[in-house]
Amino acid sequence: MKNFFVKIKDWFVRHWPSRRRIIQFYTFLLYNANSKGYLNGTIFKGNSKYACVPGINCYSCPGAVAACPLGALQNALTASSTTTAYYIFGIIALFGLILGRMICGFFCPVGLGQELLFKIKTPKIGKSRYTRLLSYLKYALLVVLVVAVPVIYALQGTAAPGFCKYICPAGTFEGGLGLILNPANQAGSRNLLDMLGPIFTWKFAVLVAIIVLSVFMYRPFCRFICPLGAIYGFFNPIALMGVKLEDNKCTDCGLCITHCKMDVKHVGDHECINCGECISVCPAKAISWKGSKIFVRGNDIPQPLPAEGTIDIKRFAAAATITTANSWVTDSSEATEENTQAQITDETAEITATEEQATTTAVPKKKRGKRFWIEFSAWAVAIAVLITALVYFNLQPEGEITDINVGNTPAPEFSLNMYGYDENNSYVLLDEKFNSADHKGKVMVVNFWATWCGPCVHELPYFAEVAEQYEDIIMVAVHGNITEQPHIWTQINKGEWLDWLEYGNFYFVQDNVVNGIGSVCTSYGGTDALPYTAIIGKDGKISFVRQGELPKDILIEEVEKALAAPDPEESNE
Amino acid sequence: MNKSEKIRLYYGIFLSVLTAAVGIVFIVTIAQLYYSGKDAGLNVIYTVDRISEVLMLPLIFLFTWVAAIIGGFVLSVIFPVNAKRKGGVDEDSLLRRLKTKIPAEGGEEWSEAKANIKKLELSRIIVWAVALTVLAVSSVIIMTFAFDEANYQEASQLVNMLTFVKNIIVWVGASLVCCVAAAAFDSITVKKELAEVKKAIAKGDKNAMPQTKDKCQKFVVLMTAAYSALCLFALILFAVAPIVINKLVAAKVEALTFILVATLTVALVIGGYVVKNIATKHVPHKAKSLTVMCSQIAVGAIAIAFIVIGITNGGAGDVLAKAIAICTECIGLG
Repeated sequence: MKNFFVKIKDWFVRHWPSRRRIIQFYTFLLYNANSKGYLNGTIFKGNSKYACVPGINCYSCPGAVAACPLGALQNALTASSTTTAYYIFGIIALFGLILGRMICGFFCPVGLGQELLFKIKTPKIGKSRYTRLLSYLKYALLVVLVVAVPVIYALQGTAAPGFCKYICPAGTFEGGLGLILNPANQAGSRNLLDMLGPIFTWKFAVLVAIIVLSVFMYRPFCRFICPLGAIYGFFNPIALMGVKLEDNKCTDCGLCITHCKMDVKHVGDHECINCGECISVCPAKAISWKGSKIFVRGNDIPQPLPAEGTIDIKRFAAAATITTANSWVTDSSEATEENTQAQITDETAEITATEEQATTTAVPKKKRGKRFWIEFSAWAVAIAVLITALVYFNLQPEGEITDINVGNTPAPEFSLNMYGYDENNSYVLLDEKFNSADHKGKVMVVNFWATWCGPCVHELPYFAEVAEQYEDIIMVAVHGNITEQPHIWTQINKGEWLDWLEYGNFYFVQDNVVNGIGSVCTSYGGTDALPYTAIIGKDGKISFVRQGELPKDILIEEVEKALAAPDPEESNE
Repeated sequence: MNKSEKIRLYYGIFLSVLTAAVGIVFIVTIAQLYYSGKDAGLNVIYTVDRISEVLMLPLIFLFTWVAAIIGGFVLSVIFPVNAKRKGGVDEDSLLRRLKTKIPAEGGEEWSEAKANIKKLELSRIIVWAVALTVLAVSSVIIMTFAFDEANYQEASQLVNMLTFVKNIIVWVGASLVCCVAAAAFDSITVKKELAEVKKAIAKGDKNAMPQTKDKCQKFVVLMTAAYSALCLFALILFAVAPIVINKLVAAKVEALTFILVATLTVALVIGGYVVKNIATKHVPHKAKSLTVMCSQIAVGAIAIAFIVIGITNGGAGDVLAKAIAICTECIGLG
């Protein structure tokens, strides 16, 4: 029994999280500090979302407090016909310059998830020539899904974030499942289950496949799929932080490459995630951190300081069997033919690396000095920042949520500025207002949309067709512009859309923006997702609401239902 | 193999099978749920009731899997692992390293080995050139198709994407087959080349100095100098950028500027990669460090300038606009 507890203690000592693991958990908590979002089923809407986190963290995750750089890049490219993507490009370049792919190794929750899954005790698929070949797939995905697809669709006036829409597992897991599994989003006006379809089916399958692969392979998403890692990989050679190789010390033994689980060809190349695991493996101590004065110990596995005067002969011997003619490494002074043959053998070199034997250099035990206090202060500041973030974001007031009881809730009246032609025959936002009260007794379809919303732009023509078909209804497209961009109205200045105004019952109006949210949309029960559609019956009550894209047949069905309802005067009689 | 290792092996196999089974069950369940709803003509496929009906089996598998994982950690306590790793040698790296050790002179067998090495190198280059040519041609065809507006006439975005995939799948398949075949050929050839290199080292004159490649020195030095000039140009450009940008009114001109500058940034970053990794032996260390430092300053200046411009032209606002609304497409809704 005592032996069992000793074994447990030994297991905990050997498996205590490394510094890198702690940093990974820390960044996950910091990125998703809005914990109350998971309870309420809503996303954070504060100004911290002007900024991006370095790693992949879907901003539709209930806990996310900042934007995702990959999603923001794609959205910026979809809007590139009106706004050039300076901001997000600058942010990604700055992150890449400072951290390079160290972001992948230390600051990405998706990487953390994969590494934890990799710890599950199954046989593993190692790297090979084929995995190295497959590692170039992420560059193809970067070009096709992250750049080409958004730009192509932007040229056609619609939005399509290709990678986020078809691949990204973070969006499916953090955002999709994080929101859907909350009961508040499973019914009523906030029902998100209605919106699930083929895209979700596909993405869920992709998510499961990546999770299963992560059990057998090290970081398959990072190695083969992640376009953000592909971008940051370019910055690795010039990044200010990360691992560096000192060429004058390197003996070319190749142990670092053998030990590394990524598809690297040499330390610090575009595949290197700067995790630092190679630092402890290098027998020549040629690998270190850039800015290594900051780090106390650079390697992932915590290693006890060796006794004085101890040098690990085995590591040097292992290196000698692989290296040829490096006399300052080997014990022999001349390379005889036999030694050469032995040295250049390609038989596997067994490297024993138990925790007790994993020594580095003969370093005497240090007293707590300056470095200890620097590290202590850094951790204290980091913990203070995390606690402050958790408290601050969770104390932010919840956005207004209006509960809609379909069939019973009276539709709020609104008065909003219309889009139309001015005296110069230009299409502008007019001073003239659309008043919902002027159309009492008529069936009104109110569709809340935005130019940056792909499904919104996709479904709006259907609404116009229905408006043309049913002359008795009023169709109001309320634009939820939540930025101050004067060019937004030009986005809807498309040739075919202007024809809709001639129907006489179709109106484009502009919502009032309060704290970044459309106030009329909120009053009709809309919360976080666009498009949002509400149908007001002849009795002035909301007869139908739908969050998400509305298929044309359902729209027609609901309009006909509303039209078939008795007039309020008839029902009073 | 001792008892502990046997137990761990059997457990590993069991958990592998169970993990794959869990994945398959989840994927099949969700596909079945979707297609059964679609075939039945349901407007809303994913409802709480329908999901609850099919959730039992996947959950049983999932909980069994979790229990098995916990069991695995208990096993690792009772039967701790020795952490013995076999360090396999990376053949490509070994080949690169050993090639630098081939003596400059030798006998008949040394010459024969050298000739074989050249033939094998040439065959690898040819095979990769063919594979990359097929890849390049396929990419051009795919991009031509992608940017042809006539291919986006369907109302449904999903239908457009599926049509796009259907049309390019042949080219993607051809590229994939070529690259995999090239990798397989490369793998076999590397082994042969390694044997020949070892033979050349063994049979060469041990007193002759190993050959060093010096052919590309001038080119690399020129490239490094050009790269340094590019960095300087970028710095000057961004010193005057605010003045230039302010004078650009039309969106199209702004976009063109952005494309030019973005291309410059990409060139700087890739150039830094090239200088760092290729110009290792032929350029003095200080010159290389200085060049990399210049590129760091240039890229940093570009990044900060872009952020400032992005804040003023509303790009930051656009990021916020998207981030505070649920991206329904991103999370699989819609």
